[in-house]
Amino acid sequence: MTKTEWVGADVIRIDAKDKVRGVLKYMSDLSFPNMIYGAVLRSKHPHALIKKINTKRAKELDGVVTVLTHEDVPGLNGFGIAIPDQPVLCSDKVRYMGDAIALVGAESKEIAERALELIEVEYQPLPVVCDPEQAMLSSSPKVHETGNLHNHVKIERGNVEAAFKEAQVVVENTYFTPRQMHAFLEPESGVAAIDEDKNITIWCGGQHPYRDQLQVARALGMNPRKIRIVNTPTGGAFGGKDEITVQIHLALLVLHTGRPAKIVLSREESVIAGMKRHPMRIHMKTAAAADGTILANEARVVSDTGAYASLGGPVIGFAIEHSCGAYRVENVKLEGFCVYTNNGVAGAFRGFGANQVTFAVETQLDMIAEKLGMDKLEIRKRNALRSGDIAALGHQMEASVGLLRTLEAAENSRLWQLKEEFKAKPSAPHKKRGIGIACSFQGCGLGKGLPDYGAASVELLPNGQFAIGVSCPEIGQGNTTAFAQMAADYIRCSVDDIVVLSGDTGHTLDSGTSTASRSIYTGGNALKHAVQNLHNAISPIAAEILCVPEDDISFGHGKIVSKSCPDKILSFKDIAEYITARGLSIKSEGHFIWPVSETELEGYVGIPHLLYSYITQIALVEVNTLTGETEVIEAVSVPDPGKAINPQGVEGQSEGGVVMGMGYALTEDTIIKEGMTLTRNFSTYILPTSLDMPCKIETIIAEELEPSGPFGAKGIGEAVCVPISPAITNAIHDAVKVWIKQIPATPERVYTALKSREVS
Amino acid sequence: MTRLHVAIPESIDEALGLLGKWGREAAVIAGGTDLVVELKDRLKSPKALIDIGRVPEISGIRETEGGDVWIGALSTHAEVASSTVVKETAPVLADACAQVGSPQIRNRGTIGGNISTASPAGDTIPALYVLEASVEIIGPKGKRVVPIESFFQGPKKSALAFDEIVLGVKVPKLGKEYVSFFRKLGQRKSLAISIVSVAFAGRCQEPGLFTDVRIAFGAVAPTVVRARTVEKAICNMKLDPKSAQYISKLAFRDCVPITDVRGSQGYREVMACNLLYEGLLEMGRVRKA
Repeated sequence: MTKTEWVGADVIRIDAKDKVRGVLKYMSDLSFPNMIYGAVLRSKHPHALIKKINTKRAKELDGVVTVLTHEDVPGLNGFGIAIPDQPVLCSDKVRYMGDAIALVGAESKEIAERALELIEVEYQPLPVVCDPEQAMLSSSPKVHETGNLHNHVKIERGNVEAAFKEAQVVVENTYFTPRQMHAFLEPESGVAAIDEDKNITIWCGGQHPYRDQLQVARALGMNPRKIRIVNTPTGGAFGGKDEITVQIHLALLVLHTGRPAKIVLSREESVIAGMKRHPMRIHMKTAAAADGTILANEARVVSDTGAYASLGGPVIGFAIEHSCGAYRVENVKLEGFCVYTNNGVAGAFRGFGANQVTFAVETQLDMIAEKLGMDKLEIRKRNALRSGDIAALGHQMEASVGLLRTLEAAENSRLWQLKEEFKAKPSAPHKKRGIGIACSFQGCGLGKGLPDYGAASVELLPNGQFAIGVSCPEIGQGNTTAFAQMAADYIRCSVDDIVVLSGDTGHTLDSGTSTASRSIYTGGNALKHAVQNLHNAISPIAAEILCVPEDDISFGHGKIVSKSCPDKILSFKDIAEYITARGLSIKSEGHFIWPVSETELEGYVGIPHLLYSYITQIALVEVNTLTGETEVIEAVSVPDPGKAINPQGVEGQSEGGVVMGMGYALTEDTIIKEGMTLTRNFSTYILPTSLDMPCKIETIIAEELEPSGPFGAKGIGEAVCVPISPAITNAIHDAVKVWIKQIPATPERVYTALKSREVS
Repeated sequence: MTRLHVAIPESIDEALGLLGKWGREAAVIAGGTDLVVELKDRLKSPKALIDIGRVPEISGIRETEGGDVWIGALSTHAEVASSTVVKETAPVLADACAQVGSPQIRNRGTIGGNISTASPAGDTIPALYVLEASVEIIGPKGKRVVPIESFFQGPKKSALAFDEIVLGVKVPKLGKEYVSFFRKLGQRKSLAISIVSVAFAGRCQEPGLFTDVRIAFGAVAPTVVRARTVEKAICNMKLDPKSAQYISKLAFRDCVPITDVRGSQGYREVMACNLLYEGLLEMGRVRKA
């Protein structure tokens, strides 16, 4: 591969200055003349039949422009990435407290909220389904007519029973994980406008503009081409804006009133109505030989998807795929259930099911190591997947596998090398320190059975710069900067001469989602093809100008040069001026379809994956034995992203991921009792603050280049937040000898575990 | 639409006049860190807000002729935490104020507001208890002074009548031979409402020996409470780490916590004891056995 000029460099994010100065306009910052404000009437019950909806009084209120109900949805009254089972506006039944029943458009936000109070809804409350295990019983009330079991995954290989018999060690435990919230700074919000020809434009933070477009079109019964979606910039998403948020409601308001409209959810509304990470109950039984080799793993995973499917089905599949960790396991018996309840809604969230099962399997591994008297890092090395190995689902690791590389780098880190010294110096005698390690892998792309495709465009602008278009939205992860870097190296121009168009169905081709750690790999590969086409279009023109044969043209360092006569040089600006003068333009497209695993698991979509990113993370904690408080003092994060297109960007992802995984391990949980959310704001939903951050997070990038990736890149957006959680809980065990089987490991839980250890 | 009247009086008399005029329909606002949340959640829907932020008689921190420290109700947590006179003569209060909420909340929230809100989890209150402060109140009938412990009557209930305003708190200085601390246990290090908090003040003339011990707990009863059983026990024996642990367990005698989203009753009971013990240990005046 030729040496890169921009890829691999810490290029400053193209949106950094505007974000730091507060200049960048997010969607809720946009306003239009004559705009109305929308507000949504949510359910008063977690589970009830709707008997009557009366909007008369609300419509009569001064300043109310429109009040819409299910009768005003022209197309399909439903949305959902997998199946459209969530009503746009409920007609006969509500299934959670966030269900939308009516939509008000008014001259001001205050009037819209006042109008909500005037809408009369008659309910017939139904028994609340709140326990996913009980929800699966035939005696349970049904959330949906089709039954409460939305998806069931069962994978068996080898013979676990025989392995359990011959094993030196068998550990068996039940784990519980919380309902983590994405907690993006920008709540679900957006604006929309409609023109005289009924073309609708929606500016709304999201993760896949073309799917938003289809979902809006389906609900409106309109040609998708009449709807333009702009997703970039998005003020944080983490999977929580993968599904429709306010797009359809905005579209309904502009369609029915002809006026621009704005909806901004309050934080409380976002907490109640928005997506969460699936809480899971994981029963796991793992066997190992005397040398630490994992012989078998049996897991039963019950996932609470709440009221609607969204991506609950694929999430349980992904969880099962990752439930044996990034390890060789020959005998597996894995079963997953995705269950409807009235507990909010759960959907995509950074990690996509891997977080929950990684917590379980990485704890199991530490228990086995302890029973065998093995080093915690050694046992991971022994079982780590290598290239060509067969993974848990029976599929071969065909692509690059970097787990060992990350483990070796972690082993050489200062924190691991000096771990006994770090542990020996707690800040008070009643505080104990411990170090924990954990690994994971993260399937990139949509997986087998879900064709994963993306396109990109490159255009030579009249000033000699280039406009590149990739529709994967910028959700804060920095992909637009990485796209510019890759395009600059493919084109052979300066990164400063790249203008990035992002996340806009009006100006970019469909590149797919900004999810599944896929946008760099997809966008980069599509750009590569687009630039080849661009070069092919420029070459004959350059040849014509320079009076040389077309195959004599080469591209390098912002120039177009004749190979045979190196003093014949053109700039891209020369080409731009030449074609502009002739009324021509050069715009090329690149299209890319993901390679997939050869293994097919009949009946399942989205698993297995071909490509994985790998990671090892270490945490140093201090536990206060008098209160149960856990402080993460330092962390080491060793990701294998393939080629790091922008190492500083990878570090940013890594540090953010560590803190998100720390919140998951220690404090964060959306508590829902009887269908009612108890933690409705950031005063009770406990996110880490700057003071709770580790003093130091060291990121060591361990690149295992992926031949099919652009410049060898894979993806890293998700893996960075996964193994840190069990690294922390394993560190708690190292410190105070209690196993954490339920996260978050709040002070009360840790203290209770400490006391029960003392008693037993 | 309902209208909310906002009045900004420039003197205490004007403020009292407005309170008299609006009566129970009015809410007094200073920093607004509690009230604005209640307005947003519609727990309160007053017709008028009386913003006392510009009333001169209730601002400032100064030493009185009687040798006490007077802290005006409008003093923000940040001001109290950084006041030289408070740090020197009532350090436990400065410590407590420094642990309220976050920098933004400490810059807005006032000590008068923390008292008037009367939350059992209010962080300045245990410190004021162990300082044996008194609350100065003014109303239509004039000024009155209420000992801090008599001021609070239950969660969000106090001796303050609807037509009265807190002027300030009078804090007796702690002598040089006194040691004190404030500790809180929250769900995180900042922006945390106390699961349990404890304030301690005691006269210590030689390591391990205490007299005039005062201990108060927050968030373990309907109001902040003095833990008189432990106080007496500590005065009667020599403290070393072992006896400190034993004695701290008596804290439960004065605690009747409840279970809420932050912590269970049982955990709070134990934490009251352990927080006191941890404070005693780290104070450095408990002699090693």
